[in-house]
Amino acid sequence: MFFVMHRWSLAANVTACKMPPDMDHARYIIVGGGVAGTVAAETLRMQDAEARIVIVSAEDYPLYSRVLLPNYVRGKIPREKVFLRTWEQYAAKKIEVLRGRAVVSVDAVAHIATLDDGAEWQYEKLLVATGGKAAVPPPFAGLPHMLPFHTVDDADRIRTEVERLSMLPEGSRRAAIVGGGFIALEFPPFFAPHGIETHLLLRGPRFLHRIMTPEGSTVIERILESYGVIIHRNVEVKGVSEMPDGLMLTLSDGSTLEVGAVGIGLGLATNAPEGVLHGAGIGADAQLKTAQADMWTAGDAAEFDDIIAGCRHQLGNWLNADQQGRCAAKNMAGTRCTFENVSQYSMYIFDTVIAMAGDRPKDVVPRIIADGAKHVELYEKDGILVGATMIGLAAERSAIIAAIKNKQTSPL
Amino acid sequence: MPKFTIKVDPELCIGAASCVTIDPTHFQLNAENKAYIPGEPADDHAYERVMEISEEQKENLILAAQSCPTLAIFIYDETGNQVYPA
Repeated sequence: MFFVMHRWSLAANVTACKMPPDMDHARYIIVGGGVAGTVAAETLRMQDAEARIVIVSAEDYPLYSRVLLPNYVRGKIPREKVFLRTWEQYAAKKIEVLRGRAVVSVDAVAHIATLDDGAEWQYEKLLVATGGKAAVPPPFAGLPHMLPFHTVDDADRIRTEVERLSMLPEGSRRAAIVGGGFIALEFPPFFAPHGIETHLLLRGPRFLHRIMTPEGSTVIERILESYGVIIHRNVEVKGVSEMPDGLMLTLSDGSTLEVGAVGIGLGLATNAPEGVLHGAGIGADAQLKTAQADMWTAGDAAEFDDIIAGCRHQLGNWLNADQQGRCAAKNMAGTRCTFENVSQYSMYIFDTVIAMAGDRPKDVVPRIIADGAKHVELYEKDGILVGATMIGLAAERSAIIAAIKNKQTSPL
Repeated sequence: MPKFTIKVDPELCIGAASCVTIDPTHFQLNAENKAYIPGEPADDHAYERVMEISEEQKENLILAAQSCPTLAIFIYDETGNQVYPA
């Protein structure tokens, strides 16, 4: 009886949508071929052996590791090592990928996704895992030698520009980095080993000033300065003009700086198709379900109910995207999953690892433990560890992450 | 319980700690920011161990391996077959 009812309701839905006979149809359409979208497709295949699963991927690459891109740019690993899947692996799982295609709009009522080539796809369930797009705002937009860093194509471009800069006469090898966050931090190790004079332009008074204490910022700035990075504070780029070998930047303090290239670390803009409701991110509940019918979200674009932190969160890191992709897929397939994960992010500045875990509530003054080599900021509420920033700390990270996850006191 | 060999390639590991977050029983970080497999005898450079894994633990172990952004974790069953990456 249930089976009959299910068939009937599905047929009713399709009829209501008035699907044209020539329109392509898939039970699951996934917008975005990054880690959230790819693992979601793989999870759906495990839950449903027969359903048609289609990924629409703006980039014409199988899944690759954004986390490994800095190592590729620095020449530590060959390009092929960043790829985590082959096209054959998608085919073996009967996951179709529309390569180099983007969903430009979604009609959530009619359940139709329209692609940039005009094709229309009817879906039953939609996952929007579009991630973000590296912001290149004015006065940088549209100019050559601007280097955002988000995709493998960006990484290729940075390598080419670094090679070009390293061939310039000594004294002309100069680059700027704009931005005071984690992406900006990736650039100094790209430039410094090639003898490129590196200027870091901070709009604020210090590095990571929104999420780190002054003491923590000082530790990071000292690491950068020890590698020759010149830090400019409280400055903005007011104008950019093209020069024979690069660009002339006019700064808000009235000075100018001639550089060969500019590393852009000004954050990501949410990349949602038209018709997908969103603010800064695509809103979702703790099951990653959006307010629109049969639509879920996952990854960098998702602004979700973080039940561990007890607040709304939008996170841009690998683990979050991976775990959300799996969780959203389970919900799409009808197996209830509540997203519950300790946010966790780490990166290297030259040889020092910086890691952040959990939440850093604005109303909590962190407890600082520093011994010269290490710097740890612990965020505690009612004695319970809720978040941590760790510079130069490795062995104790596991215990800190476990304490945050299990809502325990700090091991330090 | 069946035994599995868990292996971390320290050359590939970049200390992203995804595995540690998902399965702290089988993965920890050492002072070099590399994931190792804790157990007896204690050795924070144990990048390979044979462990008894229950069915319940296996699911989480594979999830931890799948979440690694560098595919640095390998799992083999008792006959030497590679369970992950499959």
